[in-house]
Amino acid sequence: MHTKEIKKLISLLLVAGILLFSSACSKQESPDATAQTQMSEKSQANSEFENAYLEADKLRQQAAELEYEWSNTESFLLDAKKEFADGNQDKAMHLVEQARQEAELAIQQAKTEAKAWKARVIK
Amino acid sequence: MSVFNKSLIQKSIGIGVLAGALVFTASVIAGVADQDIKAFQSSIQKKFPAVEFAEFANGAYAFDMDAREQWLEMEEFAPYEIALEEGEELFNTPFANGKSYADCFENGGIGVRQNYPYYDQEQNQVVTLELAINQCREKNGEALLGYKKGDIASISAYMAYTSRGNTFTQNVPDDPGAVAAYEKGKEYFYSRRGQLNFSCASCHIQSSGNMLRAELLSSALGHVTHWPVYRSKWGDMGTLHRRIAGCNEQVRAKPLAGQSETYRNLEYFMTVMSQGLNVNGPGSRK
Repeated sequence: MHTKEIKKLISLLLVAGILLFSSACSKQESPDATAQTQMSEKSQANSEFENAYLEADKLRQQAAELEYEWSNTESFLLDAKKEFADGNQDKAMHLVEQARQEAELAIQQAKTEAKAWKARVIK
Repeated sequence: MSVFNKSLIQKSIGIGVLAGALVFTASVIAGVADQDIKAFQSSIQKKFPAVEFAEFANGAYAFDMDAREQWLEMEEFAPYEIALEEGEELFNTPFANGKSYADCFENGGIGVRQNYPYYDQEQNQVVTLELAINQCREKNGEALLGYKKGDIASISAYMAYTSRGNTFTQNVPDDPGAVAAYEKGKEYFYSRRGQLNFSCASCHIQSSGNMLRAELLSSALGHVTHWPVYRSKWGDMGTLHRRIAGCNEQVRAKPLAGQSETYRNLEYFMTVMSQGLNVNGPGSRK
């Protein structure tokens, strides 16, 4: 191999090496950045839970105002809060979803029964 | 020695049942709910042709002779006797201001149970006996009692006992407020609720006389006559609203507060439907 070709090969290798190195650097976070990412993820999880909880509780209150609240809904929400505080996010979100579904069904029940009861009156 | 001796209690149950059979025809009061009352009572009597009208005041013990025998034996040593004695003492103990319950009720509060509930046109609401007891306390500067058990049940038990054999004659007057309250009570009775989607009518009209687990379902006719009740399950006295709340829980509906407007309207409807039956409270039940 000629010297010129060798020099060209070394330059190519250098460029490739630089490119590889900078790519690796961009994937590797500093400890501060890792912590920031974790906080951001936690904050997102907090918001998700809080939003879901508030929505479910709002529906529960609507059912309560109609005097159609089911007996387990509030305890699902209380248990959800506890599970979330204990770090069991999946379980917490599942309980919130149960509460939301119950509240929706209770509201639907109130709407249906507002008319349906009349057909049952003994005449 | 107890004032409420065993033979007196058994005799008064018997007299109450007989008096109901004799007095019914004379004491029916005409009103807005006439058609409802007729349809309700005749439908239930048709379902249970062997049961005398007055016997519906005894609930499931009108259908089940074995349970009735056990109940009558229980009445030998009536479990509500202590509450009766307590109730009499509470009723006769003056308030701090020197007045007493007797000052709040007609006839000194003796023999008046059958007059409740009624629609009070001045207050624009249904007034039950328990509400009237607390209104009396409030008027005389006393703290209010809880509505489902405790002293309110004892006082109500005493007042019911002094009224045994008296006839419920409630109907609905031609007053918009009374009609509205009655209709709301009727709506509640027939509306399905809770996760199990049952109405009062589901169990106590459609399924009355059937077994629900180990218990015979009583008919709604006569439901109000024997309250308050010593219930073995509670180990305690409780008011009608305590039981209604329990029924709500059993169908997984969140119960309302005792003496809420909704429960009072329901009691109003139930009492009108039981027009012609006699007071036979306090009662004992499983």
